[in-house]
Amino acid sequence: MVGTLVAGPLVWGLIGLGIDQVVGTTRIFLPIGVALGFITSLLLVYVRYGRDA
Amino acid sequence: MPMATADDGGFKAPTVGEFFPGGLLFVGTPFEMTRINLIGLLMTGVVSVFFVMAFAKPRLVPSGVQNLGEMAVDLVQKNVIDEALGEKGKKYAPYLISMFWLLLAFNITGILPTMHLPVTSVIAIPLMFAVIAWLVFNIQGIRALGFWHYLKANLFPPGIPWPIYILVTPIEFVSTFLLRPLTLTIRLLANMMAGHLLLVLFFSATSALLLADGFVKVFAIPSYLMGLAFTLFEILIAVLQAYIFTLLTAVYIDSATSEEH
Repeated sequence: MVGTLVAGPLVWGLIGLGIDQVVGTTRIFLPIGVALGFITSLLLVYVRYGRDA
Repeated sequence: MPMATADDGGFKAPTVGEFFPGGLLFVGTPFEMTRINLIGLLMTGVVSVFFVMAFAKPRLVPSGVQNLGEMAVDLVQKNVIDEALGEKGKKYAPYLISMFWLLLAFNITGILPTMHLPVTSVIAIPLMFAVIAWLVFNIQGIRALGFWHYLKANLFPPGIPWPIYILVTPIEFVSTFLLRPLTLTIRLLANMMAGHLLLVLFFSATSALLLADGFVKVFAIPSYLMGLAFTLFEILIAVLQAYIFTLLTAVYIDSATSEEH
């Protein structure tokens, strides 16, 4: 569970950072990626562990 | 116990240098052994000899060391294996029981007189245990479900609209296949490192305060008492961390070999 909550912002934050580098923007896609990753990881935790509870 | 005390008797805070003692045997060769390596070898020997003695000539009605051996096996069997794996846990019992007792032996050296250094406070040891756990749960998962089914079960959790998989699958890949061994390693390593640093801090402060001039000597007493309290606390941490590591490995094996995740 902790791994999922860490992996979400990490993976999508890094993808956001990569998009920032490619597009030439400064820290626009990075926070969007972190937020998106965090929300997705919450959804994943719910789907994996919370739905049947 | 290594004392982080300066040469002039004053206080010097402990550093990570505590975990990198100098070589004692075969110095200058690729087989150089430090105190940590020797303690690790000794504890591996103790655990091995204990179990060999306990079960070398097993009897139907156990007595002596066999009694202790059966208690050691039962403890892990009932509290970890039966809880996390149920019926299919029998197959993994030798691995998980060895893992628990070896980890406990390595952790408890942090408070054993003359040793006072947990073997698991250097990254190589927890990492080795975590890599083995990673190999075991992945190999068993692939054997139980087949390679593609195993990947599908881990990367595509059911009950999610398919476009969301674009967001979910990279997270599942990183958390299951990359972060699990890392979190296992860091959890154990950080706990054992922090515990050792706290013990060195309180006992070296006690020593430095006792050697200091004037009224400040009085503060050696609370510092010593804190050191004593943390020594007792470290016993709990040693058991708890061995338990958590083994339980999580069992949970990972269970989730890898189950159809449903």
